[in-house]
Amino acid sequence: MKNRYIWPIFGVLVGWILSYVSIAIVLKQLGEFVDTSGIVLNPLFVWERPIGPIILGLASFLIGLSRDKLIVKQQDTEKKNIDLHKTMIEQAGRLSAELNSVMAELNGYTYQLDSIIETIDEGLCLVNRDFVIEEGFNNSFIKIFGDKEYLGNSIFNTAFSILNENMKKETMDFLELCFTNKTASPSMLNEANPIKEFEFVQVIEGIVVQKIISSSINIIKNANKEIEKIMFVFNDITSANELKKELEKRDKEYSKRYSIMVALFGNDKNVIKRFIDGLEEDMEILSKKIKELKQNENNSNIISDILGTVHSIKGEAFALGFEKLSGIAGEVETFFKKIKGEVLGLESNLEIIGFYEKLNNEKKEFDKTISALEDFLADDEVEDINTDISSSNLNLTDSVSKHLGYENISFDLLRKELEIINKSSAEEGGKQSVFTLNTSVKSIDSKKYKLIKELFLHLLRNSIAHGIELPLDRLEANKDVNGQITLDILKVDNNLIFEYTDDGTGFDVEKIKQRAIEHDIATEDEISKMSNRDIIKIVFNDGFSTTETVDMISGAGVGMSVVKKNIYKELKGKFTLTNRPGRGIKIRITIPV
Amino acid sequence: MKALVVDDSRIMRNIIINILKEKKMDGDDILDAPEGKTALEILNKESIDLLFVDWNMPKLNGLDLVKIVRKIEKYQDLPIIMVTSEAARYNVMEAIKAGVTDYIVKPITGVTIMEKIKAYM
Amino acid sequence: MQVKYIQPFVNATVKVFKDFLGVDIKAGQPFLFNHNENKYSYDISGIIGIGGHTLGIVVVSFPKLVALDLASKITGESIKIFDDTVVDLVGEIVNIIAGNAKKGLEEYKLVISLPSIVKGVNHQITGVSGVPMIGIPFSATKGDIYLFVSLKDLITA
Repeated sequence: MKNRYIWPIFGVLVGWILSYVSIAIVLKQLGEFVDTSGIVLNPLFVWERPIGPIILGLASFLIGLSRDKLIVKQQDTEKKNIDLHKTMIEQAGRLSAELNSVMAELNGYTYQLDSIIETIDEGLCLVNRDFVIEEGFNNSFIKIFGDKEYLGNSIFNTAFSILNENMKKETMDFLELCFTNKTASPSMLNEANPIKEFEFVQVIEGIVVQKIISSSINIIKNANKEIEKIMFVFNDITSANELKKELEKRDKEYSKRYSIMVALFGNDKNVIKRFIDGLEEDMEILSKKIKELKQNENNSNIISDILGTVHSIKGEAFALGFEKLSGIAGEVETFFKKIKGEVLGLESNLEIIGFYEKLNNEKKEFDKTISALEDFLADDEVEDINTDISSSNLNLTDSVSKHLGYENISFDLLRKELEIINKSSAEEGGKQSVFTLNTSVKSIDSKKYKLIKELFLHLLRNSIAHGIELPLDRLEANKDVNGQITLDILKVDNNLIFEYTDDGTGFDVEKIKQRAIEHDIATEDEISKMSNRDIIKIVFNDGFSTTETVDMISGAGVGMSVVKKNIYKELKGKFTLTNRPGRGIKIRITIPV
Repeated sequence: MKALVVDDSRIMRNIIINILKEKKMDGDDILDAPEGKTALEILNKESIDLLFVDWNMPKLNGLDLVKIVRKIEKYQDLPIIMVTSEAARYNVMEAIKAGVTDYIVKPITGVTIMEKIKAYM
Repeated sequence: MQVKYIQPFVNATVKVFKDFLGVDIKAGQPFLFNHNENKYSYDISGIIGIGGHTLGIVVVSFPKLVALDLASKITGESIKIFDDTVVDLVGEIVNIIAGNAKKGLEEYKLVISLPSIVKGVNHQITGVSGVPMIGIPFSATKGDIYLFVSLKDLITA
């Protein structure tokens, strides 16, 4: 602001000096041409003719003024610029901060997404048009398919290398369709997926692992809505699958148990009672035999007897639906089979006691349950007078020694018991069979009854497990879909004659030969010299079985030997067998009474 | 929105029509045809937004009908839903190639069909 | 012949009655159909021919009352004679059974024909000669429905 005033004063002074000087110069110049001595230059001339300086002064003032203004304006502009600049910087700063936070969030999401992708169970994998695996497969994918060089390689040479050629081709066709088709919905495409579920085999640390893998696909499009990649989502459903199968099996078992319970509450009370009494007897025999075992070096025969008893308990308990008891009996049986022929040391002896106790405890539990059903099992009908089991005796856990020996048991009961065994064995094996017992003989003493029942239990189970074919196989062989098993009982002089037939496939001689050689029962040489009849006889020896697995019905290699033992050793009888390959078997048992 | 239901079985046509009505579609907007020729006439005359088609029909089967419809300019993007008893995977593949959008296997329950057509309504 | 070849047809039958008609039916024991035994009585049948890697037919047969009952259920009307609706329904049922059964038999690449309907009191249908026909009864409320399957290569598989 000071400048505003200084400039005009300065301007006037300069104006005055300039005027004086210029006039002086002009005068001097004129002096050469004209006499100018008379003119006196008055320094204060300027004041007499002040126009020039005044104009100059004014001009300067104005110049100063505008300059100031200009300066102020400049300053203002500068200030504005600075302000604007500041604002811009602030904004930029804010934007930058926002951007940073967005980036941070995005990074956070990406990180989360990455960790989600890395922690989910589903295996993800991207393939391009050439079925080559691209960046982006996760750890679960590697876990499912194993550690291989995936990146840059075709999925068919890596993850899908296990698929057979046909499946590979179908999957390639399917993927090709996914890449080219424009109309189908994702759900429809997934329905056409040939590898919705497939088997995958892997060797992990030397162990062969079988997995069931499920797959689904997602179409990945680029910005131009063109199909660029396909994302596979894989799931290891092996355990889910197994669980499902387990549940289905359990459902089946439960419904079977339920129907057995229904049978239990049906008319066969006497069968139950017989079983209970028989169980009591069997446990006593078992206990006796185990004592003998301790005192005897040569244990093979004793163990055979033990096996026979336990095997029968197992079979009968199973047929009546007492699964736990049957299971434990099975464990005992397996154990004794294992130690047969071995020298019994302290450990084995302890184990023997342990197993016996386990079975005995289960029997006691079983007795408790049954006595809770006393009322139900009590006879209040008159019709059951045939059976001599004391019906008024409600204490079912009494020792049944008084039932041993002289009481007579009706063959009606045998029919009932064998019918139950027929039904449960058939259900177990998916077979259909009808069992018929024909006889005019009334009854037999209970000791013989037990042995007879036991041997036919095993014959029946053997017929169903090995002889009678599956229903549709029977249809194909022009047989009735139901297997026919019959037992006729006649009395001739002092003998009881049992004629047992089934219309299955009969004994498979070749298979018996094979098994005999495998089990070192006979050499190939010996086998070649044996007649078919002799070969079939092998079946009735201890420890022989033609089944691959030990199943509940039979196949433990014990059943048929019990048949032989009961007939020859216990009942002092004999039997003949007629084998009709493809048509069944016919057994004739003669027992003196 | 106009829908067209093509099936030689009157029972099937009625079932689908009833389901569409339950989905609040106006009865006037649901058209039906017992075979391919009539269906094509309707498609050409009207502007259909949703097409249901059976596979096994006399004279013109559903798959061939779909191929013809896809050749019609205005129906390139028409949602075509095949409702058929053909359940094999290779059938689905054929249908995809012919241009079908979605696939429903008979027997249909109200629930499954409602789920599938939700996306197109 | 293995159960697995019949199973897809049985499953499809149970499914169509359950999902389509709201009826729970259970498969009985399969039997070998013998046309000399006049044991079975049905009044309307739907037949579908099957081709592909094997040849044969599948038939669903109904006694009159059952067919009328089902048709009445599905239309909500009271149907008393074998009119177009009943024919339509029987045709659809056998079509769905055959189409669905394809799924369990994909390796045979089955192709199915359009259905034919046979109406007639107490009629019987016999399959391709030399190829056995398996019958499976299903019990419904008003009577027994029969499923018959006769497929050349599957029977001898």
